[in-house]
Amino acid sequence: MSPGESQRSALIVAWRQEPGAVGPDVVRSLRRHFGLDTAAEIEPTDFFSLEGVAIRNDVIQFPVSRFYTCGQSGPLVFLSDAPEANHYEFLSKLLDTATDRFGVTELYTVGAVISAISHISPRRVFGIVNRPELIPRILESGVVTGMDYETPHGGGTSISNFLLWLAKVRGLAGCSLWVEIPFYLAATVDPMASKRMMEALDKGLHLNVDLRAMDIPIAETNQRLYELRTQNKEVARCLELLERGIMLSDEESRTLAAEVIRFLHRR
Amino acid sequence: MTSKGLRIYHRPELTAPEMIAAWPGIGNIGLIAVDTLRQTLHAESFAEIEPWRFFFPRGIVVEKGELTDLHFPRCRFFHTRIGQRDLIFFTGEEQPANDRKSYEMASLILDLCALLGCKRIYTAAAAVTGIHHTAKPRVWAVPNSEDLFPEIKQYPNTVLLSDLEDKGNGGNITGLNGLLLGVARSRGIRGICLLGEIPVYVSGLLTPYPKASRSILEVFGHILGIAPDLGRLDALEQEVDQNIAQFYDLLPAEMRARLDQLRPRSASGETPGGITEDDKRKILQDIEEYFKKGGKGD
Repeated sequence: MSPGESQRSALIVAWRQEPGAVGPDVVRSLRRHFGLDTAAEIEPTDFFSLEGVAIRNDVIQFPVSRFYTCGQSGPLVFLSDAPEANHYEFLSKLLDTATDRFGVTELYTVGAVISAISHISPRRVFGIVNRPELIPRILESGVVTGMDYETPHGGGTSISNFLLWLAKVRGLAGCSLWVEIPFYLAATVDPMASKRMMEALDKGLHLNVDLRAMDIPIAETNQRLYELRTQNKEVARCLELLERGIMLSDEESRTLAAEVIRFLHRR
Repeated sequence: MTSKGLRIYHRPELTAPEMIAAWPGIGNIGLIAVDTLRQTLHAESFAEIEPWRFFFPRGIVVEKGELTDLHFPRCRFFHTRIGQRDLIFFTGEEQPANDRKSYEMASLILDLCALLGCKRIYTAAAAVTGIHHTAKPRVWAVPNSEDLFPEIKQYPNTVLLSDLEDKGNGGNITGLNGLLLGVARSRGIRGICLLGEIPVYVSGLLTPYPKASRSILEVFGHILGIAPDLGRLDALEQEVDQNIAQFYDLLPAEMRARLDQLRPRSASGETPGGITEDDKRKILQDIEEYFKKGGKGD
């Protein structure tokens, strides 16, 4: 998308359960800047088990799949739980609504990739496109791309890549973006990853969003992790190893992740 | 050529073809049998079901940053001819995740059957029962039309459900191996499901059970009037037999003694060991209890 072109033709897709809460964080940031209006919704029937409800962080959840408009000219946003069944029909409905009702011509998905980095390391954003002509543009946004990859046997893939492929089949240009998340923040929040993702979207879509507000939760998380580090010698040792680029053992990784989650989730 | 949900690479010239279909299931008995027969007869792929409606992708292919392909489980149709007899094989690498999708897939397969003038369908699967792993598995044949009984009675080593004392003519076949024939019945296409016996204590081991596939292949050999090369099952069968024997040796002596009562006594391996149906039921109850407790005994 070139500067000045309406961003309304772009769709940003974010999933609620993305590691590090990157999806909801990005949407929160867009809401802060543009103010979001609910524009459409995909009914949960057929796509989610409604035999009961999930409880997350002590709170009852319910699957929601909503389109939001960002003011007059901002991008269209879709925030949803990942469907549990009938994925093809769900994604087709998503694309039908985006293209037929909102005239979307470009798709960006927001995702996270779990990495063995420390929380003070810079986060890279990786991009996979469904048309080669998008590559120069995402490179300009500071996104790492150009890699060759094939899922190893038994590896599986993500709903974002399924969507990207369906978009490709329909001739809709798209890119799935993946920001690095330290593995021990995957089950909680990683505001630094969210900011890095927003920076990539901001540059790629010329959103001109003021991202300074995102520095506050970054500072808070870093402060909390600093406190944990000073209180817990094992955590301090593991973080130091990561900062020196040394891989942790499975046992060390599990311990670090468990301690971080316990500490950050303490009410 | 693309029909809705089907991709047909080329349409072979067929005369009243018969279809043989299978999906993965317990012991992969049906799929191994059908795949072995398909390979033996050098059947060639001519169509497949577009998988994205039915399955979540297994993986991606990215080249220089561009998503170029997704890997899905494949559901393919193959064709071969034996003399004047046209045969279609269908093999699915995975079963759809829910009933609605399974029904849609069955309908799609039968749409192609109708297009090709298919007159008969066979599916193959597993029958979990109280046999011993050293016994030769029988084949349970379940037709979707009563007029197939006389034909089935000519099959070797085959029984109807009514021949089994504990089944009382009834039961169910889970998954597409059964559903396909149910939907076929509603469309007036006749078919038979061939179920190879697998010992109940082996069915939960997630191991293939080629011994039962062999029994099914022998029945297919009779139906088609051929002697398929079953030698390609030998290595797998030997390996699985060894693994099951090792598992068997790890069972508590008391449980093993109960299971030993199911051992065949005849040289052919076809006659169970002189126990009544009541004894067998009791043994199976004990086995079920044992495995419900996680194989830990009392």
